[in-house]
Amino acid sequence: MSEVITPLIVGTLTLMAWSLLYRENVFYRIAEVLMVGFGMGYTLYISLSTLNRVWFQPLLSGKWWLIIPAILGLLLYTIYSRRYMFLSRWAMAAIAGAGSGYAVSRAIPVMIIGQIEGLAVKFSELSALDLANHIIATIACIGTVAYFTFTKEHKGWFGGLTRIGRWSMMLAFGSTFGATLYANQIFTIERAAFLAKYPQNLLLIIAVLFIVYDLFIRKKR
Amino acid sequence: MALEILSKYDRQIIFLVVLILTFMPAFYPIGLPLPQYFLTNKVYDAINSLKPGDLVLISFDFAPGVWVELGIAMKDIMQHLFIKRARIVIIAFDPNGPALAHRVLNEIDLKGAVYGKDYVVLGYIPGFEAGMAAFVSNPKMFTVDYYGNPTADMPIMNAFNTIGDFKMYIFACYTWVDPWMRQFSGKIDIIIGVLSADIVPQVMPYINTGQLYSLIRGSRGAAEYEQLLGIKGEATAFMDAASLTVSLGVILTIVANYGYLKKKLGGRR
Repeated sequence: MSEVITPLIVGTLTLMAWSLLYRENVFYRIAEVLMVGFGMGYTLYISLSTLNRVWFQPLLSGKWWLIIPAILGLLLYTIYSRRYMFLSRWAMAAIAGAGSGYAVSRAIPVMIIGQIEGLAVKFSELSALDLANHIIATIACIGTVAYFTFTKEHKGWFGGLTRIGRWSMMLAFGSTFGATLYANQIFTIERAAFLAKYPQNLLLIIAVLFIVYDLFIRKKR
Repeated sequence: MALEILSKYDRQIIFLVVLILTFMPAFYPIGLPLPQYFLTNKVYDAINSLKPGDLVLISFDFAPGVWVELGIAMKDIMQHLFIKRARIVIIAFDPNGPALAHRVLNEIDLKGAVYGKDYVVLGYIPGFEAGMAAFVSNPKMFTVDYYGNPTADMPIMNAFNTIGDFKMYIFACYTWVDPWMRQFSGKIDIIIGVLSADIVPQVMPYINTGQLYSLIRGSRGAAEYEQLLGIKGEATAFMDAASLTVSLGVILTIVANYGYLKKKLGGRR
């Protein structure tokens, strides 16, 4: 029985969400509210179960020092009190300090030195195509850095270099846009493949009938 | 003339055409060709060269919403890892990760692998980048696994002491890969990203420098991987519709830009 009921519920919710493509309606609103509600409930469950596993259970087993991060976490809520809101900055400082420390210490060897090392290659070891690609990447990199240099006016040869930088960025953004279009389309395709199966494909007929009925009613008005 | 006709109609016409192109292959598969991407081949070759017992670290760092982009690819890759009899340690830097790993393990053939000996799901590590740094400095940080079993009794936990003991690291994510690269680059020889297609262009600098060994680009990469494995999986089934709708996107982009330029140049005259 559940093999029929579950796909029908899932299919109905999918079509309710898609109904916005036709026009704003109550079915879409219901789907939206359900989505937000279930999402929040699930997130709350995950958060509490994680807190239980990584903090509460170890605390009960004798790791008393875990009370320190808990106190820092609770201090974040003092932001709602004008009198004690300065305490929330201590917690924020701890979070930001630890985050920056972990990120910055590794950013230099990986994201700066590692990337510069990648640009420094022996030309003799590259094929003609790789060499052309490497030269283009190097010029684009220098041009893009030049574009974000605001202490020198973008005129003359420097203006030309910044234009190369701007075109390079436009090409990169275009490439990202194309990939985004593809990545988002695949979600629709997966749902379509799901809706094409029995029994949920029957819902497509109902959806079409709904739209035809609505068009008829609107025309009559 | 054609541009004027197009601009007269509502965008709902475009939605309708996209829907038709999306649904059509679901009812009538076309079987459009699917060329292999060299980076997918590189991932396949790297996993294929693993010896039985090699340790592979995997992190599931995505939410259920992007299952179709990353989950299917992870299924294919993990199936290959179990075929190669690699030992697999699964972690997650996203709270949803362990549940998704559990789903993948339920949907693939484990080839007789034993839990705790050949593979283990350690669970979620909170703190994101701070959590990554903590795991890199001490991979044996877990005292219990995702299911609550003590890890001390598990043979696989005795197979590694430092992060360098892992032969390969595979992570699946749908955001910028910088945190993963910062914390794992240089610590494990082979790092592979299973990434949502939209972030692939931003990741290419890491590929060019060799910091990221290779990548799988979402469901498209999964379909290519299924071809290499010789299976007709879920991702392969989506590729006809993907090719058609993306082609429509390209045509519409060209038409819109042509119209824009024509209008601009016409205005100048």
